[in-house]
Amino acid sequence: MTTPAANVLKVEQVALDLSGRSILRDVSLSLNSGEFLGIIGPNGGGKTTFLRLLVGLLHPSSGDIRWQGRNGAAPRIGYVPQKMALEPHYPLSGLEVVRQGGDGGWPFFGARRRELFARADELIRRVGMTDHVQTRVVDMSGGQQRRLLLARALMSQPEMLLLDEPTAGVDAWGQEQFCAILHELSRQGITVVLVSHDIPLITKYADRIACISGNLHWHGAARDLNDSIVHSAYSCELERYQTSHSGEPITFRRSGGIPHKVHQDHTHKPGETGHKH
Amino acid sequence: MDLLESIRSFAGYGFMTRALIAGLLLALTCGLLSPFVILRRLSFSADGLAHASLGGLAVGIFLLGTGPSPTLPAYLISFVFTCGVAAAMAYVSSQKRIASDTAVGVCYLAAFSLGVVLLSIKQRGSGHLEHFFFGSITAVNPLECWLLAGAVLVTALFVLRCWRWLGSWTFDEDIARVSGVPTPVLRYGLILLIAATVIISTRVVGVLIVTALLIIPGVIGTLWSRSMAVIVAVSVAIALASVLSGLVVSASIDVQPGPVIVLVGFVFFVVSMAVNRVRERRRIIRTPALPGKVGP
Repeated sequence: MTTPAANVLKVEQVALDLSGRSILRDVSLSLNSGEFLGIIGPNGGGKTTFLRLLVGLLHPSSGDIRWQGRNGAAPRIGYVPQKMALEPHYPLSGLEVVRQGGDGGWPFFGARRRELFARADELIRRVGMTDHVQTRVVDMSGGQQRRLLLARALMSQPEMLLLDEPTAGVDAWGQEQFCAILHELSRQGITVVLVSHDIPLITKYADRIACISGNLHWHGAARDLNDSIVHSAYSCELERYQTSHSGEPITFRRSGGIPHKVHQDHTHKPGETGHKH
Repeated sequence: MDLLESIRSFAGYGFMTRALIAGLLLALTCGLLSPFVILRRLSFSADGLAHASLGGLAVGIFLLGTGPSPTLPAYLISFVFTCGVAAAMAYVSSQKRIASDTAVGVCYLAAFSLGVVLLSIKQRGSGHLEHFFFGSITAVNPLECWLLAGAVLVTALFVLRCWRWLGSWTFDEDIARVSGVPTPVLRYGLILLIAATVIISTRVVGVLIVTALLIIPGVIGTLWSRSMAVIVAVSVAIALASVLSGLVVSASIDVQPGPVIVLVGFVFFVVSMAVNRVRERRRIIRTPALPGKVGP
């Protein structure tokens, strides 16, 4: 294992309020170069929001997020979102999408173009997508799309790689393969932040785990994560699950201390906080 | 009059040569912009801006007291007005309770109606309004040819400079932003170029035709290829072919060129759609279904 080097990320007392509602509060952590951080937590706990804060798509209401790249510059970041907002008629092939991932705005010609195309081919091979790259992205399965996004994110040779549930909907073998690639990348010096619900898988590959449930519920080495920590973080989710099935609305307090009143509702929309099926 | 005779007539008359040059310049600009209009789902916005530009030209003509042929200051006033409408569309779209297509619809209809009212007052009737709907490409003047040449140059430089950024931006805006792509520059740059193109073209080919040239070539490009470079090349080729054939056909049957250009583009679209359908069917037959994946 490569010895973690310089500090690349420092998050201090970050909080986010949206429409007067507290989404995240009091999150502080730091990351070293080449570390693999796994983020877990219940639905609606703020994992995706935290990742969007880290990549700059959202701005914190208070607190500070500081990046430190090589030579003091802002680091190059690769980002794989939870889902893509692609129209069903989007025409480009997987190969074209991966090739778009290189740096800069000008088109490449000559040797630079050959180098870019060779790198794209190598990354496509690495994520196991060689046989599917001529297919339109919209015609690929969810798992194939995520592997393709990983290859695309790696095209700019990022120092940081942030991924939001890239293994959701992927079969067990695919998940293992995906996490093994991320693990290998982190050993090569790329700092990896992975949001996932698959706790056994994430603890197998990550160096550290952050459990987010409205706040930073727990943060430590992956080997120190135990059942009681997971249970306390996910307790509100379990409680909601039980409550929605008993039919009685209740008021409860999440482990992180954020009060919620929950009414029975069988019409949860995707992405909303709700019981698990 | 047969087709060859029509083509010969182009060479014989200065106004026809100017019409041909103006048409080809417009086709180049629209052909370059069209794929990005389609891939960023800006078709309705482009249509809205084309109609709003009529309001802008009317304001320019009304304020400066010029005739139906706008001068350079009138074009500048129109450009500022149309950019104002684009900003209003963006602002109203940002309101939580209003959908973006509704915002575009409300703003462009207001600007368009203002144009109709001002032109009606100025011209004591609406007899000249049809020039702005269908244009009069044979009456194009040298100023408009130069403005169109400038639009081609700026559009080509923008597309070339931002080529890879535009590709990323059309794929996923969030991923592009995180990768350092200046998405606001692309968004506002594209809107400004569309605004400038429609303003210059409104009197040349008319509101309806410029909208068609901003939409049809790009759609055809997306039907023919899965590569951005080929899509843009096809789009430019279709725009050029539509304008050229439209001008020749309209001269041979003695009708307005603008609508014929759109009809030629539509024929290309129908043929492309049919060919694409056949290709997709063949591909489905050749490719075994993925396990767990249903449908084409």
